[in-house]
Amino acid sequence: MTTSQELLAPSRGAPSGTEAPELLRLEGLSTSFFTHVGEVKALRGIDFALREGEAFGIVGESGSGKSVTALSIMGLLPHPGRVTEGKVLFRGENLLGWNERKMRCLRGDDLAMIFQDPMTSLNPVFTVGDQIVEVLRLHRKISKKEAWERAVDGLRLVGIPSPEKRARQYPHQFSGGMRQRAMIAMSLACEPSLLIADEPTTALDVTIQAQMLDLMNAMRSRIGTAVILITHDLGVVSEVCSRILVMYGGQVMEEASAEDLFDEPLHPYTMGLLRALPGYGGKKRGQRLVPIPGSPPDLLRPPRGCPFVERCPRALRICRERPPRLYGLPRGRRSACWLHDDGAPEALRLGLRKGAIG
Amino acid sequence: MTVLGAGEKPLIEVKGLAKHFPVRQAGLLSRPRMLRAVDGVDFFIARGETLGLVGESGCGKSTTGRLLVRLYEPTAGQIRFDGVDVAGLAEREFLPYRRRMQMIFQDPYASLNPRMTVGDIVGEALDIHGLARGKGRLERVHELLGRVGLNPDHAMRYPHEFSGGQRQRIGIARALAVDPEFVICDEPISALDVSIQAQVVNMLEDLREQFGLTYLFIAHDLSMVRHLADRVGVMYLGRIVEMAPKEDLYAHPQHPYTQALLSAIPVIGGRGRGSRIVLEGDVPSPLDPPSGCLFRTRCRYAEARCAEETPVLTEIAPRHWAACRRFGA
Repeated sequence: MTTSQELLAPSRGAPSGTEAPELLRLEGLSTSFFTHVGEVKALRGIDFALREGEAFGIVGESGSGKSVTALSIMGLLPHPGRVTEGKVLFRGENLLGWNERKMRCLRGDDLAMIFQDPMTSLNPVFTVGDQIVEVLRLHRKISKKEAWERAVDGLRLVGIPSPEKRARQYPHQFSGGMRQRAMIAMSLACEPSLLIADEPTTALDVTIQAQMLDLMNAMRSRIGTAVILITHDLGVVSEVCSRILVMYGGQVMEEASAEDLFDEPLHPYTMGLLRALPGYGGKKRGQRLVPIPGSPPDLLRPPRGCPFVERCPRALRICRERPPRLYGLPRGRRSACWLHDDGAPEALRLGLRKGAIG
Repeated sequence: MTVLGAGEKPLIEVKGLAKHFPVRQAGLLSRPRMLRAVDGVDFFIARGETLGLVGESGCGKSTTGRLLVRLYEPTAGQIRFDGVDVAGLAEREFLPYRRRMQMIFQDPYASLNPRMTVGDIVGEALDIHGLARGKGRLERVHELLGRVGLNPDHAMRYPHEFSGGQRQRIGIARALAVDPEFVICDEPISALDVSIQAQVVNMLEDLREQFGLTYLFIAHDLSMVRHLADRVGVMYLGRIVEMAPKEDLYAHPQHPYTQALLSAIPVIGGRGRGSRIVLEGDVPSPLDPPSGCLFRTRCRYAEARCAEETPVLTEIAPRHWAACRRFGA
């Protein structure tokens, strides 16, 4: 277990560069929900890694598996969900082998999470200050008084006005934006090395969302916490994250730096997603949007091949038969599409060149 | 883009529209306080035009939409539909007007009766307005389902058998059943996934074209409004603070709130940009709104005068209206 002294060591604040050591690695993570109608394969072999201090985004639509990924990492999968395969390596240790007691020590301390609806994670019958004190005293050997002072400091840090007074109030006395700030203060109380934020701004208005994105950026550079930001909003992820993972149907479709992904998506799904947005990629005003036809796959009976095959304009015969592997591409990119294969027809090949999405 | 010609009457004209909801207080004998959800709104929509109405939660945009079809009774104000003030009409007299204006709701789960078949959901309005019966009704339902990209055999099924995007199509078919001229779209796509949103938006555009519909498009997604609308009105705490043709509004927002709202939209490739105007604090409670200008508590230009005078919408450029003391009034 890491001590707080180690956590506060100056090296932690290092910006995400190639030098920063690896913090989290998922290897072939598969999670299923065993429901009465059958096994819902929510995740099927997720691989990715992130470094200390990195801002990593996971985007996808409902049912893509992005939230299940977060809950699998945290060991918080609700019944009847279970990880069926793979590893969650946090600082090299497989968390899936840890018992609940050990996980509890880790959660809220070095590994924290915030949810879309802060009301579900704040206890309505305790004051906000007391809840932060509880987190601190659970993980740190400090006095009540000291914990209270740190709770108030934490609330001040996330921009809550008159924090001494606010710490003595209950969650219902906070507005939606203030609650989310309090949640951020609580999750960062023990200065975790990894914060997983699952749709943290989806329930908020745009002007409050802007405040929250600024706050998350500021806190990240201050504490050096690595962030996994999970969202369906490509704009939000683009404002915060340096690297982005695109998920669909419980699998990784594409991974790239934020710049590369939006500049030149390489997977037909990412291309489709961006083309469906108004005002993306020099789309002229009044020009029609290009929707992705159809709807996402049924994960009770996931397709044998690529999950996107039914909606893909470039699908080949093999796409139905066998799932593509994640092809490693230049500039540290990855993309799961048969068109990256050497045997794919040249005319349909996805190349690293400008304007490829046409 | 539709511009109102000389002497031409708008299809919809709203004047001084207000809706105040009484809110019960804790004390038994205390008087109810008034929540001013919509507080004096004026606008018009020309025939064939799409007006976008944007604002954050609680700004009164959905209440405004519901007032137009009289799902709420207005506290004050006029709603002129095709020249007739429908705000004061008795329910029976209003019925023919309700046929001409329909609504598409945000939540495709809550807005469809789970115990009715899709055929009955779409056909119910035909029954109420006595438009079709028997075989004619069935044919009409099938035709409508076809219009929104569903199959005739979907008529026998129940809403739970459909995805969110398909349910929204059912809601659209229901609205179209009675051949309306004016459709209020209240956040019709915000519950849908990005890839499905574009499907529904394109359909709304096609239907507008085919049936010559006039839309009031209510949304908080400013980029979709920009895509769909001709003119856009921005609401804050129950009032319209700015209204302009969309090109004008998005390129040259004048009201400080509109400026902040537009700069708050996260943009792709916007990482680390420093130009964003971030508003301090939250929207004040509509139970206890600030005096004078409603936006002054979060406005970076606010001065003492703003607490005393209530700014009115002023035409600061052709067809561009804003309510701020910086533009006179």
